[in-house]
Amino acid sequence: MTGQMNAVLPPHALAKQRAGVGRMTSGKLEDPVQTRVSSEKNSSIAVEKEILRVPRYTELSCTVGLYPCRAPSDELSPSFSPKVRCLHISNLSPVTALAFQTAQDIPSSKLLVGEGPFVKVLDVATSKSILKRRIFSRERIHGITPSSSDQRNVLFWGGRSVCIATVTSLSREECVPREIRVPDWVFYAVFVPSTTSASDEVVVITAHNVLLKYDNSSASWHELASGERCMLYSAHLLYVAADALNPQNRVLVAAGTVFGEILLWSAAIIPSSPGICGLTNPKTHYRLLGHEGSIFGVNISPKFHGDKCYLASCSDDRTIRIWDISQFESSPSIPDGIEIKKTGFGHELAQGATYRLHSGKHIWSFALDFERGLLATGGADGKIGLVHYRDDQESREEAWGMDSVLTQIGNSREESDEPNHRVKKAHDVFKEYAALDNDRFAATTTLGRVLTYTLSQKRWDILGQWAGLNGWSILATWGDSGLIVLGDQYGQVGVLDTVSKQEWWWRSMAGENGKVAGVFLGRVGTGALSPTIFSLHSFKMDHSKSPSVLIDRETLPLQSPARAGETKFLVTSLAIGQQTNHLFLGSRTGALGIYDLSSTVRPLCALSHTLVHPTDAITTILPLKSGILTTSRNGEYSHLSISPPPSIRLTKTHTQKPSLVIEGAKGLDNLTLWGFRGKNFTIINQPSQHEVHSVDCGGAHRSWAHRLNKYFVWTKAGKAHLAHTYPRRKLLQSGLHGREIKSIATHGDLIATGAEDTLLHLSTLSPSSGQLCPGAVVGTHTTGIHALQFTPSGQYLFSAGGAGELLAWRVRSANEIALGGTCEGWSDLRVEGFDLLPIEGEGGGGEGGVLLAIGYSDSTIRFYHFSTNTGTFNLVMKGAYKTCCILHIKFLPSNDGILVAGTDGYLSIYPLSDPLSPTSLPLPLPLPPKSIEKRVHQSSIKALKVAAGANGIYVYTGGDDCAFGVTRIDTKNGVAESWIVPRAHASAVTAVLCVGRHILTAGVDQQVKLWKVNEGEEGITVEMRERHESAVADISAAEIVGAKVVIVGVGVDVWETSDGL
Amino acid sequence: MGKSSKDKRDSYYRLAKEQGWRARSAFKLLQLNSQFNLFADATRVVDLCAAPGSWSQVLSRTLPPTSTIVSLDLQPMTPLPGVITLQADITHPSTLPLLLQHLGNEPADLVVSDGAPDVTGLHDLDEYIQSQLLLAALNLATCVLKPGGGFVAKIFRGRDVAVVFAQLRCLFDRVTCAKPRSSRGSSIEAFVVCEGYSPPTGFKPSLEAPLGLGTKFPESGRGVSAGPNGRDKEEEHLVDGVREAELRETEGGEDGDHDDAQEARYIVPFIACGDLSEFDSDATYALPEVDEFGQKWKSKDPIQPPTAPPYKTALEMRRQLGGGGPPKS
Repeated sequence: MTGQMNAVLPPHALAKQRAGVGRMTSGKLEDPVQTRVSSEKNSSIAVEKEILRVPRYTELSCTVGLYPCRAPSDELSPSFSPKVRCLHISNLSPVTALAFQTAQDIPSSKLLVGEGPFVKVLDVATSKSILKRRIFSRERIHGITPSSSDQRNVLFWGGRSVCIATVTSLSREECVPREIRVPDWVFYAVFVPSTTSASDEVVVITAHNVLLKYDNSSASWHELASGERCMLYSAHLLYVAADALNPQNRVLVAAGTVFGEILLWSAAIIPSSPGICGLTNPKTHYRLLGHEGSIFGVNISPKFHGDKCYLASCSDDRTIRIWDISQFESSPSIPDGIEIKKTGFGHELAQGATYRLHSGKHIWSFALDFERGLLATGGADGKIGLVHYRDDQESREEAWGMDSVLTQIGNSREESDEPNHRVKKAHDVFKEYAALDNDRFAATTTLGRVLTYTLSQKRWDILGQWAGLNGWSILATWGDSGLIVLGDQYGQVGVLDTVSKQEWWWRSMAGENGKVAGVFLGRVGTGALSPTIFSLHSFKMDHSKSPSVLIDRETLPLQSPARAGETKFLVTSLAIGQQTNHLFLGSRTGALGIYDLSSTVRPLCALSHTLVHPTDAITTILPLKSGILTTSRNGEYSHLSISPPPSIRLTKTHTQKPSLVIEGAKGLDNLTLWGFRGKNFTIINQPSQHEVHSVDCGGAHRSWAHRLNKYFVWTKAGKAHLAHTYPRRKLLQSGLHGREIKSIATHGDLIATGAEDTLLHLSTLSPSSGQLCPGAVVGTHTTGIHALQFTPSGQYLFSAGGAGELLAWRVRSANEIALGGTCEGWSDLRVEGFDLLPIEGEGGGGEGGVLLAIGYSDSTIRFYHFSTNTGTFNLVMKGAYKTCCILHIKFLPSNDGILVAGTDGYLSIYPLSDPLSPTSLPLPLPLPPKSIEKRVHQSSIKALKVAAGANGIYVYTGGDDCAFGVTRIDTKNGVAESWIVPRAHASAVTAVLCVGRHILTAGVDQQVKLWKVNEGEEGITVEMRERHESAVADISAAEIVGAKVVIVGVGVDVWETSDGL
Repeated sequence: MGKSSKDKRDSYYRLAKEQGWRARSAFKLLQLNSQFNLFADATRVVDLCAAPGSWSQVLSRTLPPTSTIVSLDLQPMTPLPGVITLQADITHPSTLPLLLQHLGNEPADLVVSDGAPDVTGLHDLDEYIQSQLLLAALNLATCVLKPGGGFVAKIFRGRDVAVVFAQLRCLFDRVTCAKPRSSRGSSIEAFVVCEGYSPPTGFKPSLEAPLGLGTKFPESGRGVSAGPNGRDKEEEHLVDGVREAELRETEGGEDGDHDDAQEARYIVPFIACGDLSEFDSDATYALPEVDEFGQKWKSKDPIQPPTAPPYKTALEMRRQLGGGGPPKS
């Protein structure tokens, strides 16, 4: 055995084992360096192996963890060992620790990021990742504390480990981060000046309210002081240097208990004489009462604000409390409570600055750079957000009443010309706005004034006042042209040069005198102006003369795309395709009309009229390289491909609904959307799913104008308001799901994941780095997504989950996904498992339809036929399994039946004579009787893979009963035999995969095991070939992408596999 | 969703109301008992972290009336007939004399604990806090249990659950991980059922120096007969008609990258309790048409409102402010 181990295990693994054994045998702390040296000598391995086997001896006092070798699972070269078949290559984890590393001589700061057991260093200015390194063997990094005296030193802590490193050493391959084990969970760790040497020492606070100090010379932890005995859920430490009042250096402890109390206490760091622990009497300053739940977070203010010092706390009771602890020095120990400075529920305390950068529930970490005014946040979604919080404070909103504007432009006595005192004094108010450029916007008023405002000069100017604009005005601009277009109450359209103040007016339509209903602009020089009858006005500006001259004016009448009997076509948006010379008009009811401008027919007739966004206005049309992008107030935006004339057909290749009343969009590659959400005007970045800016403007129903990344102007309570919208927040790193991933499906390198955050993410897996590259995100599901599957062609993806929802998606690429159909659902039911079979279309080409077998939580099984042409689901077969919840349904490899597994531990087969021929029956068929029923597990079958083999069908199962099962089914003779590996995992086995000739299992115990399953005359024998640990908690599924295994749960782990044996 | 929606989605919730249990968790102890016969010969039983009291209810309804049942919780608990309810901290040394006094200074036959902390959502932290709560319950149990006594506690089957299993095996003859059918399959929770309390000679239980922190677990007197993968031969709970796969000694050594020899780990046998004919906590059921009196079935109110969540005030304030929270992202 020993010899075999020697042969197979890579040398470093042996060394590590020996080091571990050294710890175990002595039961004491050894100098790690010595251990490492001795481990490299060829000492007797056999003896150590014996000791390793002792399973019942638990040493929980003081252990020092030691990893003398580079943590092997991270970024290993394939040449490492030919026998290793599973190598960890990349990981996506919740960001649980952040710290800025700032040095005065470096202009841009670096951000240290804790992701699972890895640390990453990001350059804040460029968002680039500088390095990634494993710090702990298995603990997650929960905190990072840079040294205040020497910025190069950094302290990492998490779980029951700490690590002291320098940033420069992290980048050096040969420097191995030294993991120091702690006897208890660490809630916070700080550097303190050493009492004996020049280098800093480390003090930690544990989950049982004990302060431990690490002694470098003896490589052991010493109890510095023990607070009141209780269990903590959070803690924070502040080092307080000796001063005139207190001759000793101290550590101030804020301890948040599981029972809702906060204890503030301190302990002096007494120089310890050699061999004697400096046990000090702790002093309790405050016992802070008031929270009604466990204290999840405490923080002592880092600086004394003036002479003030605060403690902030948050709790499961969902309150944030700020406590004034300035007097903790002088006050005698107070048994009960002090006055709460402020209590709030998040927003109340936030004073107007709320940032939405993450998806899902949790932000686990943050870091502040006070000098640069930066706040970094790390989420459960793996994203890192960055906020310039100081800019937010400085950029206050501006607001003007009409009186103050008129005073400024010297026109306050507005009624002086018409001294008619009997008529009630008319009061002017803001009517419409339009953004001229980065520094100017225009506004009209109800009394017909046209104004401009220059931001840099904070100055209002008047362009003039027109009788035709009295009581009715329409305003639009071509950005940066300096021109505005006005529509008046008599059907007149005017173009006004805001610089030269020249104006050109003409009648919108000959013979029409009604109000101009709207003005929508295409490219500069072309305008479409619209009452309910449309006309397109084209003209050129001649800039060679001064002042410029408007020439070549032409009016093109358009026939409404709406036919008799249809809803009126009220134009809300316009675009002109440069290449196709198509004119696109969007309507208030979501219809799109397309005209060919090269046609000579007058009036111009629409080529096509299609309802694109049912029931709400199309607000923007952006021409794409091929097709267009449309946004709508119904919350959707879509990519539409357009087939060439004569038979124009529109196909939605991509649709998303980002929960925003979308008013506008810009930037095709990095799409930015804006619109209204609740009372706010909100700008979101669609690819990274974060809120770029949000302004509380009161809601959607008001006049407004917006210049992206510059300003937003709107009317509220009769006043014009202006807010700057410079991007003050960004994502330093994109992520994935904000809650547990529950399902994964793959097609080629395309990966779909569904999670409890109700989102469906598409990504691709980079073949070289194994990193996930994010694609589209869709949020159509209302509850968690528990099952996903692609059709074999990859054209369709089906997703299912809570509320009995099952949706069909047409997928064209990682960035193009559109809803293809919705199956009937039931709010009380869940879908945990389904399977599909493609049905060839007429003429044998492509997928004409899909047959779906769906299992529900009430034990019903339904077969639906999904038509790809109509997007409809037809129920073709229905039956009940038992009364338990169904977890898996699979079509057998031979297509002659389905395999069903549920919470009862049974595998059952329902034979199907010809599942490929769905007929349009008036009533669904009943489910045939089971042909095979075999109990394999004691309870739920959590994971299942079916493979066809020489002697029948092999079903590999993972159970909630910790067991791994192999079942051989002979469908012809109706025989099933099962073999079980009990205690295969310490927890539920939630993922099973066939990897080459091996079976991979993974469970909630975060173990990933590779098994060799052999079949002999005696039956099945099993060998466990490899065992690894995943950094992903709550593993729910795994899939193969090429030669890689993708494991999902709270995060994603990617492993490279090779079937070496 | 109407009032009865939860009744459909959670049969045990409905049954608890209909059978007068304070919480659906009562069924977990009932199903554990039907598997392990925990209450046979038990006359002195301690229920730790007892609020709202459904396990104490099970004990008082199942045990003979002469039994002594002592329930402890930090939260106040509505009194129950036949149960001594104490408001006390199970980790505090002063709790022990109080508990012993109410047990008539006789050792207990069985200690049960269904306690769980408020969870944060950080799996490693939540699992650690839960394991510390379990150790606190275990420490008190070692101080009051008779030799041969039993200990049942909630456990989170997460990353380090095998460490807790190994620790418990130092003190008990038989340790089993059990999951009642009334505990949801989607939940990480399970229960450790420890039978035959037999601390090694010389072991002195103490709340002043509790096990796990500072005090190491005693070395068990039991011999080591580790089979493949370091497991003892134990009774495996296989379903009928299924064979245990022969587990071959691995040629290449099983250990992968993470050979964490810092702590002993052991995987104890697993058993799913409760008959398959009982309700499945993960399934959705149609509601009965008539109740036990033949009347049209109606959704009942809970016997006792659940222990108020810590964020109850926050929810009320939120409601007063209007709106159901921030918009969905």
